Amino acid sequence: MKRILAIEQLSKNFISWKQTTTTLQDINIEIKDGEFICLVGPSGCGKSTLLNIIAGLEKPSAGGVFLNGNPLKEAGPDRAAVMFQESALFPWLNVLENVEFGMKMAGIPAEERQNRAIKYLKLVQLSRFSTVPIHTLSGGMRQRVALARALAMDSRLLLMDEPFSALDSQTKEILQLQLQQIWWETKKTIIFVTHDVEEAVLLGDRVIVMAANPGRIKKDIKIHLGRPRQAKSLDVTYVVEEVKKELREEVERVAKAEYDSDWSIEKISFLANSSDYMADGI
Amino acid sequence: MLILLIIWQTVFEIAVNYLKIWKPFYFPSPLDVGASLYQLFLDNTLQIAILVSLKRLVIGYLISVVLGIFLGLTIARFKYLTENLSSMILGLQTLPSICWLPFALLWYGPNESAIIFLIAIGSTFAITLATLSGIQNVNPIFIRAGKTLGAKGFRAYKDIIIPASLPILIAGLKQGWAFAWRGLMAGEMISATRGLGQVLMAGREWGGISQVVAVMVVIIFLGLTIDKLVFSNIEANIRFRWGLNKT
Repeated sequence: MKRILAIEQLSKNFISWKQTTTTLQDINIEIKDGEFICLVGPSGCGKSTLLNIIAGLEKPSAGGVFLNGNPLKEAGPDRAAVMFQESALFPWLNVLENVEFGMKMAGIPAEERQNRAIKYLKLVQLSRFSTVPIHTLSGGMRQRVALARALAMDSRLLLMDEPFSALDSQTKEILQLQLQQIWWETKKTIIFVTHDVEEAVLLGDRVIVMAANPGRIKKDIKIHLGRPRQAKSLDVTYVVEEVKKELREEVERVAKAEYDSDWSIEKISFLANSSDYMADGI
Repeated sequence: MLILLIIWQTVFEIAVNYLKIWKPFYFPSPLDVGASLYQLFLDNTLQIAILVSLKRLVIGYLISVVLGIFLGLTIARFKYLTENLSSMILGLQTLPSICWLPFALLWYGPNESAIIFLIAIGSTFAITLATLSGIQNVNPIFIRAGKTLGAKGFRAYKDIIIPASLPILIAGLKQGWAFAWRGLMAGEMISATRGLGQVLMAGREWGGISQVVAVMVVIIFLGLTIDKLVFSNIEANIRFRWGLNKT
């Protein structure tokens, strides 16, 4: 498969008064066409910043992002479609108008963009709600509209910034399944940021584990599991534990910075580890 | 409403007719005001005054809407202007429109333009301020989402920033409308030969306090009607779309 996106020696510094914070340091990622990449990491590791840079919403301090070999300049439809954590749907437009928005900006005639918008609303199973105002939708429905709006942009690359993190777990599971199916049908390249390892393993072809201070790539793990994957199935859980091991030390390191200096994760494990007592009472 | 009228009439009966602490020309009874309204209506004074005043009001107000929104957009667009002009605009807004009267008379003379100038200057800054705060309160995620969907430059203003700031903007337009009335009255009372303000002042000069109150009643009634017909409808529409009615 051909390479669609390359991130080369990318760094990002935030300069505030008297202090420079390195949010991202020397990031190198290559992504093939049609791949599903998940970025996981502790809070503050710069995964959202990385996504924003790929989207063109922020500028890197050094290095660059290349789409099909060309360096990228501004955010826009020819670059990538983006889906945000909170629903970034426009409340002054109804569902259909939201999905049409990108096509309207691109100057596509009214009739054609309506047909296309309805097609994508059907894909997320929301065509019944096309004339409804946004505020009447539930959180899960909103994210589905946002997905339809992003898909309607027709760009090869779809960036998702913790899109399901605000949803309850049942809704989340349904949407994860639906996303796998849509990805399968549309063959898009997806970069999906999440802090949830299970979600990352469930969805990704590759899970890229990031570390914080400075934000960097710790490990790039290929997930060799068949699809569709079910949350909490044995094989998924097994891989999740593997990835969590990679992350644990990292999460603890970040947490330590937020606690008193004598704190460690072992000290708060006051509950007995159930596996130690498995055979008790037999 | 009816209860208020009864209280009014009772106060009049006690203070003017019974205790005689107020003279009849200090304080009118609702019946006198009604009679006066009817009289003004019969000789067409009222209708002409309303039409003339509304015409001035609409022209002045439209000017201030265009000017106010334009100023607000410009100031919000450039950080330098936002930092330096915001407090000045706030200061100008607190200035009652009647303070501009000397300028109005000096620049235009006692005529139609002077009144329209007073109306416009009174409401422009309120609208500018609302535009400013409307834009500043736009959720940044809308702008970011807009960018990734291809809304840049002028399109970003037309399709994202202005619709996103509408709930605040509409409140400012409403406030501007109230200020426009103040400007209108200031202008008409002093330099007009026709209009509601002039009828009100004529009442004062010829000792007809009931005519003064009659005009006041008409102004309140017009204000409420226009608010109900125009602004409330638009506001309710926006609130419904945004889902702001649910708490």
